[in-house]
Amino acid sequence: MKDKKTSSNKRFYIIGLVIITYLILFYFNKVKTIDSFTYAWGIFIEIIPILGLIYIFMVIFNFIPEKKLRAYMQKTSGFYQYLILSLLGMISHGPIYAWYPILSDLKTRGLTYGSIGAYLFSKGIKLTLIPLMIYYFGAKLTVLFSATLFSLSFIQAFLIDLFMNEKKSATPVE
Amino acid sequence: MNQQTKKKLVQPLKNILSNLPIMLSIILILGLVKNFISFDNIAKLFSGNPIYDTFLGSILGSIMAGNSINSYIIGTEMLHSNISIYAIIAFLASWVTVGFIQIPAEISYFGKKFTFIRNVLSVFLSMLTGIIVGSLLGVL
Repeated sequence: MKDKKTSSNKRFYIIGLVIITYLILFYFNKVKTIDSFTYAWGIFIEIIPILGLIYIFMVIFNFIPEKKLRAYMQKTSGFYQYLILSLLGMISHGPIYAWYPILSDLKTRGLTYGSIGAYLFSKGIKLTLIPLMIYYFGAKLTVLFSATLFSLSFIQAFLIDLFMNEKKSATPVE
Repeated sequence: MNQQTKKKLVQPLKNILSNLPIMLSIILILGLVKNFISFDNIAKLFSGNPIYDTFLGSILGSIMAGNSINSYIIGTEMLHSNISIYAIIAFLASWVTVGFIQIPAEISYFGKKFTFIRNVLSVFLSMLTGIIVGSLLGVL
């Protein structure tokens, strides 16, 4: 709770610092500062409709029963565990560190380090942000980027298990 | 509407709104960078050598952190400054897969060895993502 509040305060400190920087620069160079603000405002206006779309995607993903998926994942091992963790990483949202306690707990229940790596790597695919990524970089790059990250999450998982000397198959939960 | 459904509808909105100050900060900083430093000067850091540029993009993305939307905004500006697409993709990939800022938290949950291996591998795999996607974009 305290961490959440500190993090929230930090956000406002940062924007406060940026506003102060604008005010100082405005004193020294009015034209460039106004140009900077106009440019930033243009970007912000472009983003607003996309944020609406992201909200819809986030609501849809909120209705996917992650608990059931997690329970199923604990019963699997090896490649299938990588696969499930990669898929779970894709659909999960929120900051990466928010998932550390759950993953650490699942590690004691049979999850391999490689699977944790696969999860954290495929979390890089932001399904909710795909409309925005397409808007900025095009559909081709977005699809190739997501597919490559998903595929490489398996290599990440395999290499981590190799370096961590993990057994190929995890011990299923009783 | 039950409480849980209401929570599922409100939570994403809260998430977006809570990230708004940081997003606005990044956008405002971008405005300053464009007018006071210029993206062309930043682009000079990139040599045109795909390997070096991909490595630099990957390191930049690893150092920076935050919502991915911010990486898209910065990535687009890099694109407009004619920075190599390999570097931009590596930048986008490492932004979301490597977390230098989160290293202390990661160590406390999974230990030093795992954290070191995962982050180093992620930097290299981000570079690989840049090379694979960049090459495929040229072919497809």
